[in-house]
Amino acid sequence: MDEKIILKYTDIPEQKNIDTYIKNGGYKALQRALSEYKPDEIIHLVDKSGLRGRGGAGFPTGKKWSFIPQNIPLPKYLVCNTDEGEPGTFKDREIIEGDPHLVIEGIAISSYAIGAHKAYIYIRGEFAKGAEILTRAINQAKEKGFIGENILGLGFDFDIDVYRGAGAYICGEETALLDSIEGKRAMPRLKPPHPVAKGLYSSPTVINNVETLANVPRIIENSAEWFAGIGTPHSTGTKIFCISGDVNNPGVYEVPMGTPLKELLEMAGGIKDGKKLKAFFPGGPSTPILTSAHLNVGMDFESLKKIGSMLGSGAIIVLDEDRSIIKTVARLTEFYRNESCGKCSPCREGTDWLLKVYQRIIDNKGKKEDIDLLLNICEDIYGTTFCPLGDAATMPVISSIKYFRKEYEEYINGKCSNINN
Amino acid sequence: MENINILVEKELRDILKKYDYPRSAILPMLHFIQKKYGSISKKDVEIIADLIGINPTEIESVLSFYSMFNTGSSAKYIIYACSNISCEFKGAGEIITFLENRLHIKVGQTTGDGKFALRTVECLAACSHSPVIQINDIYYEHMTIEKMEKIISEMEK
Amino acid sequence: MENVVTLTIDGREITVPNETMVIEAAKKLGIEIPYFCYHPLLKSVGCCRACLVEVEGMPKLQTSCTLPVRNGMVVKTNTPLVQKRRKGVIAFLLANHPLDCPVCDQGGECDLQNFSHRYGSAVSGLKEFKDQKRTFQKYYIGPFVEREMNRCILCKRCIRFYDEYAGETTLGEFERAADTEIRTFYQTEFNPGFSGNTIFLCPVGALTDKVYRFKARVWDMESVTSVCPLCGTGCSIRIWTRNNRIMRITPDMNNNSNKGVLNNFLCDRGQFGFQYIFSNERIRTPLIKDKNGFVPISYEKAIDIIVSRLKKSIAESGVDSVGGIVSASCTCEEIYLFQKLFKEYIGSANVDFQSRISDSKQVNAILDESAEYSDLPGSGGFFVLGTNILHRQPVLGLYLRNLTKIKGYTLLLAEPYKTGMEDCATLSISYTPGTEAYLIYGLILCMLNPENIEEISHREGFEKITIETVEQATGVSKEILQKISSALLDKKSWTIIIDGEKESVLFSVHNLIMILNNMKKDITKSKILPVFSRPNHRGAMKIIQKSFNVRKIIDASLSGKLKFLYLLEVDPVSEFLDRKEIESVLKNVEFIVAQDVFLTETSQYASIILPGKPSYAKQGSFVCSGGIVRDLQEGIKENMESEWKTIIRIAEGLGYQMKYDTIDEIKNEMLPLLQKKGKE
Repeated sequence: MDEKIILKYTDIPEQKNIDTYIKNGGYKALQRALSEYKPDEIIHLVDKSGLRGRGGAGFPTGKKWSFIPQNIPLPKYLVCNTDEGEPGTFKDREIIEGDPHLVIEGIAISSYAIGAHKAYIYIRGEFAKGAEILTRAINQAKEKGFIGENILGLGFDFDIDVYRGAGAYICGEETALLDSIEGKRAMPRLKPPHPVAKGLYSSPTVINNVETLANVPRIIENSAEWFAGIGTPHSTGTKIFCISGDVNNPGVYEVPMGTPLKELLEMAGGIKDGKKLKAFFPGGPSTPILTSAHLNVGMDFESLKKIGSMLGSGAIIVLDEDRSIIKTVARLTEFYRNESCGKCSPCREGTDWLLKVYQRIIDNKGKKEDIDLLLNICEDIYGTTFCPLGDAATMPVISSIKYFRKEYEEYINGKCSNINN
Repeated sequence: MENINILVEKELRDILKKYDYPRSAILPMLHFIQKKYGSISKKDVEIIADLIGINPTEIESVLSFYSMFNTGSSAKYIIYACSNISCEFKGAGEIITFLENRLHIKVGQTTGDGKFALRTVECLAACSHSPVIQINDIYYEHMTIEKMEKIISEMEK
Repeated sequence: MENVVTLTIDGREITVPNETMVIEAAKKLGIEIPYFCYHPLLKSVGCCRACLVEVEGMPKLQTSCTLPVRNGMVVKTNTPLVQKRRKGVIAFLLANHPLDCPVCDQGGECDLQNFSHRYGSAVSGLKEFKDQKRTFQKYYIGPFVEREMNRCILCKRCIRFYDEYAGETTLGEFERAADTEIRTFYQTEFNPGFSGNTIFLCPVGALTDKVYRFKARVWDMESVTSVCPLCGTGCSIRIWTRNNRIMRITPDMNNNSNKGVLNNFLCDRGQFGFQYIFSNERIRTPLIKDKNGFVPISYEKAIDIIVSRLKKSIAESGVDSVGGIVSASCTCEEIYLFQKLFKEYIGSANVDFQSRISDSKQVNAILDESAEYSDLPGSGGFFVLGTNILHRQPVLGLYLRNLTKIKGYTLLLAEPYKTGMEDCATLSISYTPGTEAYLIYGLILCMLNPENIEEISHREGFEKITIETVEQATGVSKEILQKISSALLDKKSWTIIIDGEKESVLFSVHNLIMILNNMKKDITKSKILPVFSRPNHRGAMKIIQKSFNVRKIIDASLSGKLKFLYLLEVDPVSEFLDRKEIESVLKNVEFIVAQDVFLTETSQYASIILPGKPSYAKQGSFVCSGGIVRDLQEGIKENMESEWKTIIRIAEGLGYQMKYDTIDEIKNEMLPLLQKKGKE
């Protein structure tokens, strides 16, 4: 647990305060970045560190930054994606509330790297407190000259704005998020053009997750090699896992990439009430569910992919032996059904249809064929939707039927009354 | 009343000034109105549309997309109960039922005196402290029926 | 050629321009790919997902409406996977659809019905949740369009039409996910003007025609293509009839065609305005004035009286004591016969069409060089001057809105009042009404050096005009005039769109164009595009050549020389500028024949009134403001005598043999008159 990179200081209440942050070594990385590195050197450094996006897709951060076209007369923007909406995910909130300056410093360095003079922190509307903490921190940073014109006398002008969402899971999708800042209905945009070419206000834009950006100051402070030495060869650094559900100590746990699930469960105090593990979502409900057979899986991009799941947002939701898979997935299906933006027909209508089938099953009116109907609907959603939300909605359904078909059958046959919730 | 509207309009103008791209002021303006009045009226939408220079339809269209904006009756305390699985596993359902009985309203309704409104929401990203209830802008974590009762009776005063 | 690419679709090669989308390339090969949100005249959004295809080298299926063609691309539109996914998409679209096809006006021309039939699954879970279909409340959105949200598949063509063409609207998209609804802001009516287009754009029965509602099934109707008579644009229309009654008017297209904006869209006036023909106020029989007012007489008797009065006037007061004015809403063939009767047979010079006040020769010479609609996309920019185009020629205005706002063409706008084009303009100015000629002269002043100005001034009688006088008259500052003139001198060709009925403006702009083309010899010539309220202004101008103008007819009557006047579908009292004058003119004429569809303000001065046919019941041709000859077909048959036959009857009464059995014979004889000068 001495390998904490991001959550190193979040337990200290005064860490929000800029003086404490500076006392703990804060803003040194910014000073160093601006004075010792050219922007492209920082991109190179981040690339070398192997840092990959922590929002879900795991795209190499340095590579994304390198796509920003230089030598064009448009402003460039950095957007910090704080629309943490994936159920079971709460790491970004912990970071911004616990160590806001770390995020701000990360944004400043990253903006310098890509040549952006303006950054937006898009924060989900529900995080009123987080928005307040960030705003206060930004003002402190402005007073101390870490944000503003000619930062630290090193010739870089830079400003950050906190932009509040208003309740829409789809804003986690980066182009929908951009539409949201532009004051529109947040609906994913057609790609290409990708945001790096034409993003916010039609200008080149990089969108990174909070956790991703919070790693940047640490990479500057230490070194790319140091970062690359943590975790696995292709999933470097640490990952913050949010463990919730049926465990004794739910919470955030920062561990090196590749740490086996088993260890994480132990850290979280094991399954509640001494029960057995039934299943878990390794990276939020948008990642295929896994079972107790997968306890030894290393929690990193590659290992999870190998067994047919994904690292996702790092939200491990644990279900004990008594949880009803059907009711759980039904609740998640309701979530996707309501959070679909409605733009494309397979997602809008498909999720609505899935929910109707689940409701029928839960109302004990299910038919034997409903299991195949669910799979069939998922098959027609998966890969045909405009954005990944549709695909995500199919994950819990397909994977839960894969591992718990018997439970579905029993439920439909009315033999499942002993299972709670 | 007239004066209040002028003041509010001035504040809306100040928000608008912050953005180079006027439409970007829509969400901040709506947040501002909602915080001030608890809900957003047709008139508010028209004022915002006028300030931004677009048709009110565009504002309403954006407003209705986001789940946090309230156009119905407002309440002094809007209770948002997280009902996604991590909270559900920790008893969110019982708390919601308790609130319905305690306040004599169903989810989605407002009490007759306009004091409480009850809503369910999706994951509030506080799952380590579940079940979570948000009242106006504040999170109440590790909720139990006892704690809920205490909060409600406090607010009833 | 570097601007084309070659790709393979279903094993067949095709070469297309490089900005083509795969769906369009496939269409060129005759390969049908189902779609709902795609429309050839709207930007692709890729939201219905019905047009998915397989592309070699791409792991996921691609929406062919958003996929630009690339060299060497190999596309498959009909693989088992594509078929399966299409079935899926169609099943999704039907999942919440009410399937109320038997009572839906879209039946027979519904894309959802057709594509489901062709590509959907015979077996589906549709019946599964028939009691749990999503339903929406009835909702009023306006007088012409009925909204049935339950049928909507959220392709959003209606909203996109407003975004890309008609502009601001109260029609919008509300809520989200499966609860998304298309409606207006708090029950407001959504903008009239172009609202009817959403009916044709809607691929399903979510937006239907209120006027046509429940009147007929599409397969029970007959239809002909014709030309809209309600302004100078000359939009192609399809007249749909049942039992010789017009049920509806639509553009001459279906969703699968792209004949360009001017043929695919209509304005609400053009689409719904036809209903006047059902009016009880229509004149159905000839009327004659007696002591007690107008009383019906037979057609034969009316013709006899007209002929005898004509004979009498000619015998007593000479051929110049008779004359006629014809409307620019009449067909070329009617106008041709009308002027032939007066000029060729009777020998009177007193024939003209409404409101013309100057020599047509010069005007025709200018108009022969004017822009055709097909020139517009090749134009570098548009200068719209004093036309109120969205009102005068709405669909042309709609086209310009799209070209300027969406396609990025420059628009300079000068109008005395707001006209609804401002949001598309690069530069928009207002000037004092009626000072167009000053304004143009001011622009010329800004462009030329002093010596040249002297020459022009001399020619135009503008000797004493300086930039200051222009500023004073127009209310437009020198700086703005300079801004416009330097924009016009930009290295591109311009189309200057003006009110074609104001001949002084036409002449001034003609000078401006000559100067522009002189100064920019190396680029495509700038051109004028005149705008007219009447459908056949240009035709009338061409056909009635070398005549005295209306002014002379008026003068002749004021001096008591005019004894007989035939007014063919023209209403001078309400149409001519000086009402008092025209009223005394009409009082002065002994015998007036007024032929029209309705009684007009002029009717009271008539001695005999003849019924007229609406254009929807006429065969013939119009010359539209873009200079193209367009053919009308008889959508309905009306049992009164046609105008052209009436003219022949009168001629025969006078002893002249007009030997025409069909409109085509007249047309063939008349057509050479419509030729442009210098063109074969």
